[in-house]
Amino acid sequence: MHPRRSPKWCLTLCLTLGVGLSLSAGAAQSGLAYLGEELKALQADPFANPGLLWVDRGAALWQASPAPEVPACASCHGAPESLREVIPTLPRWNAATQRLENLEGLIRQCQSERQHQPPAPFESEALLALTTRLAHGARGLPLSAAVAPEAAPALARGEAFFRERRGQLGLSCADCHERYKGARLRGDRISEGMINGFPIYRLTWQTLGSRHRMFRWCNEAVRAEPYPFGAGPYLELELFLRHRGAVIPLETPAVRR
Amino acid sequence: MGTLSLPVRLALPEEAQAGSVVSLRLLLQHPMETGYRIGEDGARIPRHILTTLRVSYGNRMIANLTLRPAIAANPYLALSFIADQTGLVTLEVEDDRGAKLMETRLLTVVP
Ligand code: HEC
Ligand code: HEC
Repeated sequence: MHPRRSPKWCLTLCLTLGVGLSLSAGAAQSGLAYLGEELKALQADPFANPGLLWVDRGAALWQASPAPEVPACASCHGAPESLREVIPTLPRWNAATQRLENLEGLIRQCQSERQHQPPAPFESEALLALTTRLAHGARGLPLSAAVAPEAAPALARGEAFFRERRGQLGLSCADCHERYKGARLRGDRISEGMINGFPIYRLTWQTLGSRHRMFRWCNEAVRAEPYPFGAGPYLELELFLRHRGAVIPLETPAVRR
Repeated sequence: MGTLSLPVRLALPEEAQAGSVVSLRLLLQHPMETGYRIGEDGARIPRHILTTLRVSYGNRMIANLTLRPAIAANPYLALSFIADQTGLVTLEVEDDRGAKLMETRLLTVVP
């Protein structure tokens, strides 16, 4: 399939390519490096970073028993920081189930198997809050490059997804996040597509969103059909992005435009 | 206390010197839906905004704001006032669906 590129699109990219090229050199960088001073300051503000609202809510949910006689997350795990070493290694391969699991999936698994509750729906306030609280506890730790040998095919599929052209605009993730990084797109400055800040507070959304919400948004930006939250191809993509972004420190909750 | 289910972050020093400027900072979680946007189903998303924000200090009202749809979601607000007496600082917030929030803090003023 050779979809036509939209002329308007080309105009935006071409006009701003100069900026893109000047930034292309150097080591992998967090999306933070592509933000203006104002948003950098907002992310760093220990009071006013809006993502901290979800950190607070997640901390309360962590302590709360979801129903009478049901243990809270804290009853089994102690402080959320007790899981901080695990966060940078997610998604990871589960040898028992032969599947990849990410943080949202592990939280939902504990809710259904260990609390015997219906798991919080994807992108619900509760799941975002718990995810944000746990990832916040791991901030500063570098994303891990470790991939179990059994997960090598999944990693390769994740990379293939990243490099494949898709949508009516026929652009791959790599086209935007490697080739055109630093370029401007409708007011956004295209970053390297790193996942170290998630869940992120995105001004465009006026709320907080997960990694998979971002993938869906980026798929829709090229008019490609997005996958559902938690879908296999997104888990593989997430694994690849974790591996690709290795050594960049976690900074949840990041603020993005 | 409060019936608003949306979280709030409130920062106010517990103690201040008499005559000094104190700042109260506030981050509220609220969609601030303007009522003008069209949702994915093509229908207009109903308005849902914070309407009132009041702050009192001792027995004085130090802020009484009417909020408008043009404010972004999850608004951040800061206001400063002069600490002149030990007293309660009370924050009251209301939205257009009857949700209310009331938070009270004690500000101790030292000479
Ligand atoms: C048409 C260009 C375009 C394509 C193609 C694209 N993105 Fe994006 N992406 C953006 C823009 C614009 C943003 C928001 C600005 C930024 O942070 O880069 C973004 C943001 C992101 C972010 C968040 C970065 C951060 O620091 O928080 C991730 C992760 C991401 N994209 C992943 C992907 C993946 C995975 C794909 C392929 C499925 C993809 N993108 C395809 C334009 C694109
Ligand atoms: C009844 C005890 C119990 C409760 C309640 C519980 N968990 Fe767990 N959780 C576990 C056990 C056991 C494991 C597996 C731990 C291991 O393999 O080290 C686990 C694993 C996890 C993991 C993966 C950590 C890892 O090291 O692999 C996460 C994340 C997690 N739980 C989050 C939560 C959250 C969030 C809640 C509350 C919604 C919760 N858990 C409630 C017992 C519990």
